[in-house]
Amino acid sequence: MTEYTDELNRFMRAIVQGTDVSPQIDTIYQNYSLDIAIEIYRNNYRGNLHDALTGAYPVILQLVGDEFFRYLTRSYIGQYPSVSANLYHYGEQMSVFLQEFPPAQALPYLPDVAVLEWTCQIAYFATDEPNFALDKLALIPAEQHPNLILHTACHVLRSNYPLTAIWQAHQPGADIQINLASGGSIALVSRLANIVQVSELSEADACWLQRIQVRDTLGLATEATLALHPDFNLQATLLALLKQGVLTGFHLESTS
Amino acid sequence: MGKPATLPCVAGIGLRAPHYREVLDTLPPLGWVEVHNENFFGGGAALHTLLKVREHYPVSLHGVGMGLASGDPLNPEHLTALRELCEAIQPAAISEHLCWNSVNGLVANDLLPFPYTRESLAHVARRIQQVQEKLGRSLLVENLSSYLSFSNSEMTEGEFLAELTRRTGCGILFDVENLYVNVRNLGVDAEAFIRAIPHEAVREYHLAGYSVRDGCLVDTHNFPVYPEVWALYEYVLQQIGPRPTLIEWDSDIPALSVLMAEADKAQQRMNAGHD
Amino acid sequence: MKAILTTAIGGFLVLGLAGAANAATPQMEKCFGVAKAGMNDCSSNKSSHSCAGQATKNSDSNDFVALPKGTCNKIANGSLVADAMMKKAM
Repeated sequence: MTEYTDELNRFMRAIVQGTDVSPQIDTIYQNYSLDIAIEIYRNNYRGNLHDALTGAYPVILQLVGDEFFRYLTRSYIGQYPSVSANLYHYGEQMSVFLQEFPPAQALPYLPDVAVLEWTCQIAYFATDEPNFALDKLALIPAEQHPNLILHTACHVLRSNYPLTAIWQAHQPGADIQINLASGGSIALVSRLANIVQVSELSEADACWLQRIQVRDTLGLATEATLALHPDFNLQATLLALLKQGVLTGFHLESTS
Repeated sequence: MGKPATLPCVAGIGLRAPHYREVLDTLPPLGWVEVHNENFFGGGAALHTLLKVREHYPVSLHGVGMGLASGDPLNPEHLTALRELCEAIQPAAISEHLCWNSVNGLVANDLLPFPYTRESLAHVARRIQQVQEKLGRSLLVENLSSYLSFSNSEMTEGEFLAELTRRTGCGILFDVENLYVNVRNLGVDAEAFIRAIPHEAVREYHLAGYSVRDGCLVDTHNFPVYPEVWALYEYVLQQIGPRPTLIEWDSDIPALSVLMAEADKAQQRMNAGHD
Repeated sequence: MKAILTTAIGGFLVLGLAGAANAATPQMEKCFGVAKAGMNDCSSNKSSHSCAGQATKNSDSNDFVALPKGTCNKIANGSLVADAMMKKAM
């Protein structure tokens, strides 16, 4: 390690871990002490990470309130130092952290909310997908329909808690009317233009979509879904997913 | 694109998220806008907004995360993301801070000072060249506001910046408020700083409001520009001449009209210099 | 199966091309977008952080116990444990 990086390293550890700074840093300033200066850098380090977590986890913030959220983020920041210059990357381990954070054990659904919120953040910055080309689909002969492989851009999250309802209840203007005893949820995260959406999927739709996501053909996915869920309505599902920006394209399975 | 490849020599504002919608809905008369690069990395919804802004205004891309003086190698993903952003936006200027933010894999999401030595000069110059090669254009490097200094510095920040421009061909983004903060905190000689930097390399000015904590001026970007900073700006205009000038406001962000009024004040001072 | 697919895709194309796809645009853009849109802005300044990150190195220990006091208390059957803790704390 060079003298230079050694010096930076001591500065970094002083900020992150509270150790002493390098003796090369001047100790006398005209209007304040060195301790004040270091404290400003420390405060800034934590403050920026706290703000990043606030931006990434707005629903958790509302669920637990400001004071508990500060308590929680302070602990998180101590456990997970920042490793990216892009603050959007900070906070990925929140779900794992919440599973183990003793004061949060009373709210067993929090880790799932964290997974959902992180997924929303990823969806927000995902690169654009093309609009689904209905006109091109119209050119595919009917006998080829079973061989269609649909392309999608979405995330499907299963939870033992009413996850979609919890998320939706914390969006602007929504009411909190949730009963945790109402059971599990399948949340669909998608983005249409600039807007990330979370909606609830039925078991049948989730069954079909998860097969489509692993690139089953339309024929196989639909057949398997209908076998389990005879009321599955392919047309309605296709339309709903188109509206949500989930469908992005298709190709035909190469038939030999 | 039909937009100028350099910033117009007028006042602009830092465009932040709370004003995106109003700016796009009302298209107010802004000379140009500056945004923080990292908010748009990866594309997606954020980039959509910036592309719309770019249809109406010259855009300056201002980095907060490259860490030109960092101990760790330049992050290739960060560089690639910046190049892709540049290709999409075709900015009128692109700038980074003279600071570091990472060492041994740890990152402080902040703008940290370092000693101005021959070793750090060679280090930073090499990295500026790397960035410029990757982007295929020259970078503006911004002087830093700092709360501490290093006894092992072998030159001043002004001398360091001057040498960087000679070695790399980079330009200077002269943050007048940062200089004022350093004058008050560290006893930096403002006139010597202005003499030290090559005036033809200065391509942009920044102005902002600081706050004071326990006697230390903190570069919080959350107040109007103070009279002392306006006075220093007027002196800089006399010495160096008018350059594209940005009003930065990053926390407690006020109404767009307040930012525009601040930009007007800068514009009036630039105009007065021409008389 | 082929008939099911053909009918479904036929209907999908008719309704999709008729613009049903452009129907709902939720009004969440402002809030969601803004919260996400400026996270790196604070790297640029030395934020005042009036409400955040005020911990000094000495006040870092878990020397106070915070209880969740947000909307979690409005969720029915949400947290029996928390309710019990709240009562004890009061």
